[in-house]
Parts: sequence; C-alpha cells; structure tokens
Amino acid sequence: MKTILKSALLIFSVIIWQACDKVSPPYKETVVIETGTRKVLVEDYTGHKCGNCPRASKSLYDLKPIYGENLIIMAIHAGFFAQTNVPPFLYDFKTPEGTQLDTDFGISNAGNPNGMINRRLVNSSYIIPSTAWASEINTVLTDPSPVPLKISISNDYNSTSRELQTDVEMEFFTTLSGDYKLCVFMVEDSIVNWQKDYDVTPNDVPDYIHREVLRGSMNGTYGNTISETTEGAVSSKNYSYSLPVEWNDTQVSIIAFLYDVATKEILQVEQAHIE
Amino acid sequence: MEFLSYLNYFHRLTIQRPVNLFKKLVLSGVALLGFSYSQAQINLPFEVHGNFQVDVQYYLEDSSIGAPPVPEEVLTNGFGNLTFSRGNFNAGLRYESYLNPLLGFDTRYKGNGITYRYADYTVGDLNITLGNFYEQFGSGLIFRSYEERGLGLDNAMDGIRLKYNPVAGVYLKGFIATQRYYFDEAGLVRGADGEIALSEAFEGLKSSKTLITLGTAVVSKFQSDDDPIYKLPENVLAFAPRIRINRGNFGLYSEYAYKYNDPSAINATAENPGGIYKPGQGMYINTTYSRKGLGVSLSGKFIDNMSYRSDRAAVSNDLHLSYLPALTKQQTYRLATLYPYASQPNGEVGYQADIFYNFKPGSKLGGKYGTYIALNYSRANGLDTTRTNDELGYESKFFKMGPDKYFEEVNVEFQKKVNKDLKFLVTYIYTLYDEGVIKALGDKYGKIYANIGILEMQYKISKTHSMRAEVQHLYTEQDKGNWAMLLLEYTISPHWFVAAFDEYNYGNEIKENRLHYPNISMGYTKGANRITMGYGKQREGLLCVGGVCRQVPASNGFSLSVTSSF
Repeated sequence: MKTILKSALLIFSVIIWQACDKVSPPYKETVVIETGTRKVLVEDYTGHKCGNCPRASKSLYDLKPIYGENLIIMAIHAGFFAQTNVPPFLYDFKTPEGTQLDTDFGISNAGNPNGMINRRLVNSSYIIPSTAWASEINTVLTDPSPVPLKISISNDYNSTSRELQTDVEMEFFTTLSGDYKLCVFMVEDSIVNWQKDYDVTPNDVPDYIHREVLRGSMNGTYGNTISETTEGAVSSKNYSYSLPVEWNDTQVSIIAFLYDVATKEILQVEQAHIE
Repeated sequence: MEFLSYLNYFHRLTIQRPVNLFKKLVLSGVALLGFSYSQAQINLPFEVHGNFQVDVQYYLEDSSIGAPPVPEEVLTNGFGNLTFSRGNFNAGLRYESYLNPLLGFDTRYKGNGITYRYADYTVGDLNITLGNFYEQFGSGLIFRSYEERGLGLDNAMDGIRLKYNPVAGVYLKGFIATQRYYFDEAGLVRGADGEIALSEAFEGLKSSKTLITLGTAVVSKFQSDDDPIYKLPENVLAFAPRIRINRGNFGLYSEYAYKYNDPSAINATAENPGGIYKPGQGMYINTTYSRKGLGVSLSGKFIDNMSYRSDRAAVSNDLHLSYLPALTKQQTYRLATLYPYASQPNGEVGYQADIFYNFKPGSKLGGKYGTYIALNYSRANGLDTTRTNDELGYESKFFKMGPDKYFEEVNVEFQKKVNKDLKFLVTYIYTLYDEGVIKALGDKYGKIYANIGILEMQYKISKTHSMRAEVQHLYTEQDKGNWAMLLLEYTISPHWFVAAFDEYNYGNEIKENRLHYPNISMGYTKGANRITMGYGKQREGLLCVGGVCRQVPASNGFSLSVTSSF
C-alpha cells in the first residue's frame, strides 16, 4: 500500500513538472480570423482621471485590424475617475445612462479599467478585466452557433437643424423566446480633451483623443421591448433626437443592440455613422 | 441622551433619525443577546462547532467628508462556519451573506450562499480533503490559499488534496483544484510539496544540535489561450526550494522561487499590454536570534515579476496564488496606518531589521518593573532594471537594489511600567512613502515624508476597571498635512468596554478639509458572544492593485457587529 502511494505521489510530482509551456519567440501570431455576421459590443468603463485606462483602450483599438467592423467599441465615462472636481479634468464626459449602467453592473466599484463584452457572464461575473478583453472578444466572434438576427440602421440627419431620424430594423433568423429589448445609443468619436495616462510623461495629457464616447441614448438606459422575435420576423423602430451643439456631428454614430432581458446578454449589435 | 450630546461635542450632526436608529440597534442587540442565552445543549453522535459574525452598517450621506448616499441605507456582511467532527473525520461549511456588501467591498459579493464546504479524513499516514481547503507551501512565495475576510479577500481552493507522512520527518502534499472567485470559481491549479526534517528522518542526525529542514514546492496553473494576437503559455509552472536551520538561539529560513513565462495583467506594460514573457524570480531570507529579554530578526526580500495568479487577466485581490507580504512592521496605531507599504509584485528589494530588548527589573534602566525597547527599520527599493525592446520587457540583476526608494520606516518603541497600575508606551515613527509608486498614481504624486509620535497610557483603576488613552500626532508637509488623534477607552472586565476617538486633519492646506473624523463604540462580551456598536466617520481611500484602482468611499454612520462561537 505504502509503495503504491509513494509511487503515486512521485508520478503526480513528475506530471506537474511536465505542466509547463515555455513560449519561444516570436510571441505574436499572424492571425486570420473568419468572422461571420455576428458583431460584438465592448463597453469600456473609463474616466479621464484613470491613468491606467488609456492602455486598456489602446489594446482594444489594436484589435481593430483583426476584427474590423465586427468589433464595436463604446467608452463609458462613469464613477470616481470620471468626476470633474480636480483641474484640469473639468470636462464632463458622464451621461445619466452610463452612470446608471456603471452602478447597476458594479463596474467602477470593482475598479477601472474594467468592461463588459456583450454583457456576457464569465465566471458568474459581467465585469471583464481589460487584459481578458481580447480573449473574450475572440470567443464571441468565433462562436460557430447560428447568428440569431441582423440589425440595420438607417440615419437621416439634417446638419442645419441638427435633427436626427434613426430607423433600426431587426431581421430574425431564428426564433427567440423570452424578453428582448433594443437599445439605441449615441457615441461621439475623437473628442480632444484632458486625460491622465500613466504610460506617458507627464501623466496629464491635454490633447488626448477620446475614442467613441457614449453621449446619450435615444431610448433610455435599458431600451424598448421588441415583441416580434420569431424566425423570419422583421421589426423596426424609429427614433428622433436633436443633437446638442456641443457635439461634433461629423463624429457621431449610432450603436444599436438587442439584448436578452433575463440574462442581459447582447445578441447582436450594429453601428452606423449619422452622416 | 448623554451619548448623543457626546456626539454633538465632536461635530454638528445633521441626522434625521439617529435616536430611533440607535434605539433600534440597542433593542436588536439585546434581542440577539437574549437569543444566545437560550442556546440548547444538543446531543449528537458527532461534535459540532461553529462561529458566526455579522457586521451591519447604517449609512448617512455626508458631503463634508465625501460620503456618498447609500440607497439601501443599511448594508450587511455576515458569515457563519459549522464544523462536524468524529474521530478522524471532519466536515464543515461556511455560509456567507452580503445584503448588500458594506461600502468598500466589491459588489460582486452581493448575495447569499454556501461558499466553503469540505470533508476531510485521515487513515493511517494519509489525509484526504475533498472540497474546499486553505493551504500554504513554505512561506507562500508561489502558493498560499487563505482568507482575509475584512479585506474581502478569499482565494480558497476547491478540489482534492492529499497529505502523506510516509516516514517520520517526511511530509508530502499534493492537490488539484480550482479557486474561489466571489460566488464562483476560476482557474485550474495543480501543486505538490515535499518537506524533510533531517533530524527526524535520519537516525544518525537525531542527536544533532543543528536542526535542518528542506522542502520544495511545485505549482502549475492551466488557462487556455484564446488570445487572437499573442501565443500565451497555457501551463505556467513555478517552483520554490527552501531551507530552515535552527541551532540553539539561532534560526535561518530561506526560500527561492522561480516562475516560468507568465504574461499577465499585472506585469503588462505600455509596450506589452498583454504582459511580458520574462520569467519571475523571488527570494526571502530571514535570520533570528533570541534569548530571554532579547530578540533580533533580520530579513531580506527580492521580488522580480512574481505576481502569480490562477487567471492571467485577474486584477485587484482576485485569484492570487503567490503571497508577497510587505517586509515592514505591521502598524496598529491608527495614524501609523495612514501610509502602509504594499509589496510591489513586479519588482522590489526590501530589508528589515527588528530588535527588542527588555531591561530587567532591578537593573539601572529597568527600574522596579523593567523597561522594554524595540527598534525596527525597513526599506524597500525598486529593482535595477534595463528595458529591452522585446516581449521579455526588461533585464534585472539578482537581489540588486535600484535607485528608486519606495518606502522607508524607522520605528522606536519604548514601554515603561511606572507602578503596578500605570504603564506608558511611547512610539516614534519616521516614514518615507512613495505614493505615486505604492498606490500606482503616476508622476503627479511624489514622496510623502511623515513623522509620527504616539503616547499611550494604560491605567488600572481597580481589579475590573481599567483605562487606556492614546495621543497621536502625524506631521507631514505633503498629502493632507498634519493629523492629530485622541483616543479614550474604558473597560470594565470581563463584560463591557466603551471607546471614543477623534482624528483631526487640522493641518490640511485646504481650510474646508480640516475635518474631524470622530468615532465612538461600545461593546459587551459574555462568554463567546460579543456585541459591538458604534458611530463614526471613516476617511476615504484609494485602493490600487495591479493597475486597477477603486475608490473606497468615505462613510458616516452607525455600526453593529455581533460575533459568537460554540
């Protein structure tokens, strides 16, 4: 009995010793990924006073060459690091919708940077640390299961009156049972303003380019219910909004997504510029 | 009402319902006490033990100190452990409840559940654990599973563990398990550890005065590589040999650790946002000498890229495998905890010297009741590194201090008993604290130099009544400037205590921020039951671990804590 146990432990130790992968250069792979019609929404929770956040954001845009338009990014300024109480960080990037989401999902409570990938649960947590974003994006975009729907956005924008009409059409390829809601958010790209960035010296950067910042919603934080979700159904919704003069309308786009109310998971997302 | 006027003495409260709430807290406290009296004697075929704790906090919005409104108003953390044992068999479980988690805790703890359950039995030389367990190999450089409830840290393992003691002096351990992640689990970890006490294992060494113990730990974690760009190591191995030598009053302990390539969130850099591929190294050495009235301890630590977690993307306090505590004095006085050092897992070299001496009663310096003196010096610097323009990140030299001083502290402590009822404790602390590095706040935050003086007095009024007072002062020209603190504590043993203290940031450069942080608490202990309640204001803090920062908000409110065990 003792000999058996002794040898068992010895074998176990040897097995563990084998459990080591030494990666040799090159450390990067040249990847060609077959992406389908499924798109993914990354919600990057950030703040202009969060010095670790620019690195996280940069890592997302480094993935753009691989995934192209299948990767949709939305930066949400919320929580402690988005406060506007310390000069020079006085420009308010916050939105009521972003703050609501941040509170409900407990993101800035867990720290910044952090984010959500299609609001999928990973280890029972919606909050995905920034270094895991690439893996989770890849998991979603290489998912071989059928894509349940396609979202099409058509915008009609009058730059004189700054009135925007947005039509969102959803075409269902499979029958979805349960409750589903559509959210239509507005983001503005390339806002130049102050940002703390620990990767550069000095840390306070006056002309940082804030990419795809959530500016507001056309239908609230949690959107409208879509009742027709059977195979072959086509649902459409119309929204209108007058853009504040403060927004640079040449950089504004619409992000529309459908999510499962029970699991909160986003099933499909689309982005379209207003002009 | 005296209680409230006491509160008002400290500051002008604008609370709407303090009286009612206080009444409620007292009443519920009394109700709970009554409950414990009715504990029944249970006759079972096995032994049952348990312990329980609940912390309830009622929050008030207070914009003066930046305490946010709490929509739930009342938040609670609680847990209870139960263990069942009979002979060589043990089983147990822990139930945890966070409804909702107290401010400062991760909201992913929200909810209830059984977070820890295990069965454990010993047959002959073999011990088997099924389910959850805590474990530590050596000093923990590559593996320590433990909990620190108050910090919301719990990296309990869940799996199978074997402990085997084949012959005298030889101890073997092995496990395969996942790790706790809030109310879920993550990671896949395999570990083995062997230890041999030479004087126990070898007949010829049994009479040797030098006792030598050798050990080695090996740990490997698995995580699949789903990254679209980087080739990531899916299995990351670390090993750590160690030695302990004891002879007479001398002791020596040393452990070395090596970790293979492990790019992670913690060692990520601007150039390598997915982490660097450089292997990690660590070393810890401690020597001690002790005899009656004298203790000397010298320690050194070298950490180079040694953060080791069961998930490479883990941040904050999540999923730690390696345990890298700060090599500094553990401060207990409140103002001395304002600038605590935190180990830098990516690289540091630290030293600590700790000496205490007791002048005997009757000697010149000892006086009638003896005199105690303790000195502690600690220091931590960054590594001496050269950046390389590749995925390895940098080159470093073994155990070589770099030019950046992260932390330095001098502690001088003096204790003197004046007569059989009165004792004085005097402490002086000098601290150098690099806030930009330690809190990962960047270049705008520089070094803080603080001088702290503390006088404590303990006075025994009668056999059961005693009093304790502390006067603390912190002097600094940086950060928030000077602080003063006064504490008074009155104990009627064995049941009651009441304490009040106030921290006053009188030296703040900004006039409106020269605030008081008063606290008052009282407690009742009877047997294994203890109830504490209090009111107080807490300072806000910023907690940064591994490149992710979160704010622990200031708070103002009432607290109730009940602990019990059987």
